[in-house]
Amino acid sequence: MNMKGFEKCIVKSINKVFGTKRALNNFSLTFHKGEFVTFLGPSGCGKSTALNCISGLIPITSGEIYIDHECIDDSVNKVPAEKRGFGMVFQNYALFPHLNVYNNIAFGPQLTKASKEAIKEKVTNVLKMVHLEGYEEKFPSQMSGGEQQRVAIARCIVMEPRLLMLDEPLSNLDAKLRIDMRYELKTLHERLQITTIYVTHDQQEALALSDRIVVMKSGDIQQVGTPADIYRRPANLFVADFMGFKNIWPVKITGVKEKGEEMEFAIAVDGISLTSKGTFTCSDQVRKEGLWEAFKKGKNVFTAVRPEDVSIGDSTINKIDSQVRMVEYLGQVCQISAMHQNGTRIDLKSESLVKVNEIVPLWIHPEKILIFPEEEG
Amino acid sequence: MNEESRWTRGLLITLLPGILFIVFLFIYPFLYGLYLSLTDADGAFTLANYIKFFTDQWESRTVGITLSIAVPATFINVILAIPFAYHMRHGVRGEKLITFFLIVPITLGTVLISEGMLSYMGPNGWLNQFLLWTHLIQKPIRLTHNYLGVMISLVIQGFPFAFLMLLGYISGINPDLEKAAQMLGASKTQTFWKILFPLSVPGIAIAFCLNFVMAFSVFPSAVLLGEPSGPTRVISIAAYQWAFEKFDFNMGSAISLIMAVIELFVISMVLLWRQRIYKGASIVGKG
Repeated sequence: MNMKGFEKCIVKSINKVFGTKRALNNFSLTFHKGEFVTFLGPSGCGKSTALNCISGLIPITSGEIYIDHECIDDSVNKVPAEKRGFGMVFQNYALFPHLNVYNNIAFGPQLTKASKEAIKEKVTNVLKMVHLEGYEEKFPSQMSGGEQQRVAIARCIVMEPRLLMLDEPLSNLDAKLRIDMRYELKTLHERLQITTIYVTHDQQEALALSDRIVVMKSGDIQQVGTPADIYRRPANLFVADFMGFKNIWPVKITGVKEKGEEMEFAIAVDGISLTSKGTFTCSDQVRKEGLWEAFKKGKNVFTAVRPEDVSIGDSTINKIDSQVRMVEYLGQVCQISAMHQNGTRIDLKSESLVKVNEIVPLWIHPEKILIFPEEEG
Repeated sequence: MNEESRWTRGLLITLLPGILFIVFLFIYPFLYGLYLSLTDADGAFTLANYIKFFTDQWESRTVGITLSIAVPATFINVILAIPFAYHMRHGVRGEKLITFFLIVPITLGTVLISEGMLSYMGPNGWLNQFLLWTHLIQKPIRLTHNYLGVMISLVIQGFPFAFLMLLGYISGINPDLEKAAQMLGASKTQTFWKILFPLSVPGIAIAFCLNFVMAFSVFPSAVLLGEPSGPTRVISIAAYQWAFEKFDFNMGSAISLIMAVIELFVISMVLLWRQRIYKGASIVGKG
């Protein structure tokens, strides 16, 4: 595509309404050149809608999209999808079944003024890039899911799009192939440095691939951050839950100590007393206020603890000895579900083998207990 | 008895009604017709029936007459149906109502439609009265009892049929293919000609074949709305007259077989065209 790349693609508070359903609320985000951004969320969170709105395939209800300083969509005037110079890989690959691999990939270039030789060279190059040399004459139906996926990617990158969009590209593949393709996608991105938007509901994929992750829920952005941010410091209970903080218990705050950015909370749940420590920076302001308010009004807050942060062993702090109820052997570790005598269920991961009904000493490091105020709505 | 032979026997028993049905209602009548057409009244082998058909101007011209009605009618129906089906492929508001009005002509049957057309479009029908009243025309236009009448009737009946078939076919094409083409820089027109049309070719071919067969064997419309004694004496009328007016079943059978051969010829032409355009016919993938 003869359009040059961009430094920034700015999406300004776009809204999308389907009938009476709000699919996207004030979605704002800036994409920088070469970045790999993932929209992550459960089905129906609006991640695909956001992608389709940016691509121009579906009209936005309101808002603006800019490529550097050029407005490409303000909900009234828009550059049509075919003229944006973006590329998209679809979940079901959407290969043209009546065309062979060569013609599928050459479809885009053939619409330009490129010469036959130039097109052939381009197609040969991308086929090499996705390791499909010699597949030119095959038809999509004669190939496996993984091979079709590569053709779909090749068909896109042959256009040298300034923004590449991938809509759950790996979800139709089996587990092993998914990891292989994930690796290849990452390699390809590092090599080509195409600005990429990736949509998935799989947190592992998001963590493995992204420079930045955008977590979404029912049309709203919940958190934008690096994989480490999202994984370690979820912004709210929803993100924590979605990112695998399985131990979410309703607790009451019984005391607060604040020392600069450091805060220490004494919390209690049905007779267990725990301590939670954490750093609260300015970006955690809303959460901090919510916790203060909950403390003053005596309302419930929620813990969020990863299963791998619950340790087996003796401790003087945050002891929650429990009885083992179920053990799932996962190979490297065991997924253990235990029950405290007050009825609290504790999920943990451990390398040591324990028996069902055994009472094990458990404890949690205070910095590994995150607490969140209750979600609104 | 082992498992496999029991299975085979079960299969045979369940297939038997179907096989009997085909043998008695299709293969036997067909072979009997073939036999009749190749014999004379006394049962002796002869090619006289065929020779008579092709040497008698009055008979042989029915082939041309029928083709001149059936081919344009089929083209009109199918070519008209393509844009309609294309625009309704993702569903439109009021689709059920539109579909209902399209199905009505099929359900009413040829005779009722012909009767309706005769009184509506006849020389003293409402249409002509209205056009005369508005002074758009000076004398009634003839829309019945001629070539045009048969043609209109074939379109009224054949178009809904072609449309419904094509709609089913085109709306079955994965909508992501259009989006993919668009993202690769294709305009709506390019997407239609490069993606949707080639993928619809098998559906178009089938719709064309069925419409053609229906139009080629036209009988009631040709009799009721045409001039069965001359310009619209189609081949099926010829076959009918020989068999049931002159009681020459041998000649009637010969004409029927000629009809069948012409139909098969046209159908194979259409299928050949399909194969040329759509190479991937047998390999429609998950895509």
